Amino acid sequence: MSTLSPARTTSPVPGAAQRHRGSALLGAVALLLAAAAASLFWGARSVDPATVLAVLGQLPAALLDGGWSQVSAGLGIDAAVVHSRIPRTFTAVLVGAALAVAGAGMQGVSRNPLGDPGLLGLTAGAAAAVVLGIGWLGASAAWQLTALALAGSAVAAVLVFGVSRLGGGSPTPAGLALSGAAVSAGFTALTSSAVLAVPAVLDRFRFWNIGSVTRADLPDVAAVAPLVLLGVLLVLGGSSGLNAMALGDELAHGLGVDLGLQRALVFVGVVLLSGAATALAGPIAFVGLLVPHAVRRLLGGDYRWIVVLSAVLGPVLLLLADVVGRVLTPPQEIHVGVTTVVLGVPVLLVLLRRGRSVGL
Amino acid sequence: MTPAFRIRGLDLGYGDRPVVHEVDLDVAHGCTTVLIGANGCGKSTLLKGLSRQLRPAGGTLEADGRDVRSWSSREYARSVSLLPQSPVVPEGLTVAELVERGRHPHRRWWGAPSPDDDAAVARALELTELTALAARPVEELSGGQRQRAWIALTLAQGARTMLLDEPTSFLDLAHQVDLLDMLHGLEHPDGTRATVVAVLHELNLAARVADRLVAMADGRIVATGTPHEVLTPALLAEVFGLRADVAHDPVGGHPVVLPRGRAREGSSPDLPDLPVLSDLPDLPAVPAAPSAAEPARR
Amino acid sequence: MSTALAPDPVRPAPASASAQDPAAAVRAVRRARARRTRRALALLVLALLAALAVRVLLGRYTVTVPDFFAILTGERIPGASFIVLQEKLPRAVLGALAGIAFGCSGALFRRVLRNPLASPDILGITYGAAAGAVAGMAVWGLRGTAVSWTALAGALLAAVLIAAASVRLRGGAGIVGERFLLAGIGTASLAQALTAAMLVRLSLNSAQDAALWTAGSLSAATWERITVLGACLAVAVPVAVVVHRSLEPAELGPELAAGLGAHPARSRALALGLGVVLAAAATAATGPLAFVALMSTPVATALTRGRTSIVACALVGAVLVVVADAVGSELLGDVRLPAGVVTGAVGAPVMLWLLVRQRRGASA
Repeated sequence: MSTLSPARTTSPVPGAAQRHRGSALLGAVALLLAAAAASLFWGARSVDPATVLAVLGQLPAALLDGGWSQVSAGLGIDAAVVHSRIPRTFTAVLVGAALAVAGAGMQGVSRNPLGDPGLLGLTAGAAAAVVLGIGWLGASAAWQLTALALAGSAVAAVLVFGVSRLGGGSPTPAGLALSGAAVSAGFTALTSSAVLAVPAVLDRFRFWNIGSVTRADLPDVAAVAPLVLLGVLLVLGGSSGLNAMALGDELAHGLGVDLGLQRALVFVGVVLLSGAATALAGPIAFVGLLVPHAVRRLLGGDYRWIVVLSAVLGPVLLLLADVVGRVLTPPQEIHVGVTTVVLGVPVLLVLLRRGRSVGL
Repeated sequence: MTPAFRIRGLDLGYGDRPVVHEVDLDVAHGCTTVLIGANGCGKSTLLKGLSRQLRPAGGTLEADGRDVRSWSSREYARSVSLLPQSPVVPEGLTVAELVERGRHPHRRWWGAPSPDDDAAVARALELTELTALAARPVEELSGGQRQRAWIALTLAQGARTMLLDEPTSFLDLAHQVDLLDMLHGLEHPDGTRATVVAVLHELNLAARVADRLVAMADGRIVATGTPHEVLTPALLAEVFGLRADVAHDPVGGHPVVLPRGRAREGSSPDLPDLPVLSDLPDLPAVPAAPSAAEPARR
Repeated sequence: MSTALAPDPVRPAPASASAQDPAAAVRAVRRARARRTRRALALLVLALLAALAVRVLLGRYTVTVPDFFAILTGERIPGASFIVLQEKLPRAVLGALAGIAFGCSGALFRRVLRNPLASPDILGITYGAAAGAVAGMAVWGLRGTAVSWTALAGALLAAVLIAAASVRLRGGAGIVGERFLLAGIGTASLAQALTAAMLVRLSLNSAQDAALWTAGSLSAATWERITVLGACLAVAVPVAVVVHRSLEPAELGPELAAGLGAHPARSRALALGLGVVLAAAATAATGPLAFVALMSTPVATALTRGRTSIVACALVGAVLVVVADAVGSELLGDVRLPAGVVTGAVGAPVMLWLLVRQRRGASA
């Protein structure tokens, strides 16, 4: 059984660790700004930076007027290109933060470093709901797919946790991981059978199934943003409980932690986050697994900091992956769902090779 | 007689982090040797070296007169057994099956258990008072019963030398005493006395069973000898940073450690304002000579 | 442990067990277990035979038992001969072989990595095969048997990637379990993302083929595939049985295993290598049959009550695949589902039920 060991590597001098964390957070925020700038200024088509700045200057007006057409006529095709980069930058930030924080929360709740919304069945649930929606309910609007993805994640989450609690007592890490795998396999079977039965569904599903940040428009982003914010706050709220849970349920109980409440907080947060992310961008693997791991390597096992830093570094990973996907094979673009994994796997492998041990 | 272990200038460590430095030690056969020392002083690491889990980074380590690196692993396992601190409980095994796993080095890859195996398992179960629980799943045992099952596994291995890393954890006091007395008096089926090297934290129990104590601090051996020779206030202050008095058990004659508090740096280990128990007049005057204590211990 | 509170039944000692010969008591415990295991194995063999018989004889086209044996001995019965020899029998046999391979592979992974999620499907071996197959279709335009070879290459590539990240040659630590798991899950994500990306580049028709392939199906069963997979299994399964057995001490943790003189590092590497080969060979022949490798070990363990027998795991895998294929292609009316979809759909509730049962048992 792989459980998080209660023993944590701690810095020899507590003060040093805190300074280290502060500077890590500052560095991460700087990285985020740099990555966001790169996402706005770079692309398959090169655009004069002055144009980018000009368009950015019109952003508040455009948001107030509810569209670009009124404010930025006259800047030509370049402006249109920048217009398309703005929502995708926002999407990448939201989705990256949502996935990374969801991963951190899942790893904490399941006390398993392999915890990831994908592994615990939430992504499969969202995908199955979207497929059924496309195929039989005729869903196509973004808000419909969002609602479906959220509902699918929620159903999967309830199933996973419900089953792991059925025998009585609180869910064990191994039980959660297994029921997650089972629920995931069940939903994947549902998706496959729908896709195989109706070719038209396959045709739409296969495009939805590669994660991409280009689908969402600014209104979609604005609609999903509050969900992501709420989700991050919920997970953050439960993160001190996660710290205690990492010591084992009995000890956590002894420390006066309301296990049921904290777990529920984090779990609802994770469902919101992974549902929202999947709705905006389709399934994007790996961010939720990699980012919290990297942060844990950097800063140790305090979940409060893992959540905060994941929320900043998740977007960095996604933004960079998106930029790389844009500039690698111009004028074609590689979807972010592919580049994230292609960039992320080597990072994970290097982390694994270099580290003394994974915090299992 | 060849010693069980002959150790000269042994260095051990994890990667490039050295933990045990230049240890010289002879462990005689038929003796109970107990390693004591503060947490992190290298006792368990030394035990790992003796069980060949760590390769010597320097120096020589011989078991029964042969360099440990020249033994095959099954051969070594028939001669030296190890009970680690936290073994993993496999799913779905009964106590008898768990103990039978200890017979692995005596078996061919696919050999069915022989009558020898059954006899060894039965004897190990008896010695640890687990015979009545033989058919129980290990998961259902209490902590103390489980610890005894692990010890039974090590016993069933039938090695002449047993290495035990804190074998008494999870046991109540009565079981601790029972277990250590059993190990101390343990004879192999051929009549020779077992060789035991154990790490123990409970000093008074160590003094009760050890023929020889080995005190370690900072990866080095600071004292070896009989419990009387090793357990002195000065040594306790040096090894554990503990201010303590040493009295003598009026019945067995073993030294008894009476902790008084933490020794401060630079302060004398025995402060004059505390009564020293061993000097109190109302104690029966028991001769502390090891010769007198020896027969009483059996 | 709820039993921790019970008074220690041993201390007040002389129990009735000590009256008899203690060695005999030990033997009795072992024999009881052996009997149970034998009974479970016999049941599984019967179940497999029954499943094979149902798959071959019944369904949309029924064959009588005398006809079946007549066909086997070479007699030509118009229609029936073709359907039995080119369709039903190959599917049943290939399904059983693939199930055996997945079952063995899952048992090996689980024993080495001591994690319930450790199985070739979670760790990216089968996803690697799927990516290889889809790449063969999308990039090189391959069809038919050639796809099996790119699938095999994909699976082995995935294994190499995992090994590169997790195997430490220096220091003698060998394969580190946690690293292997994480690297495997990373590899699985990579393979899935690549599969999704390549699926978009295919025409809708080819995409349907590819989707069928990635779900795992026995519809492409041929005697050629059976021969290749059968030859692989004839070599790998006996070795797997021996290695699985020799890894018994590894269950006690690395330290104690070393103390018992087992060669964990060497036999663990061998076991994982074998597990990869078995899963890769089976996936190349049938596609990734979801969940079979992951599920057969816990099901087999529940059947034999505790101790894991790799033979039982293999048999459970075989029964699962054959039954899933029968259900998917015969029982659902007009809808024909590939076996891989059925194993996933059936496997999920079975797995959940097992989990609940296990928890009930633990808390009772």
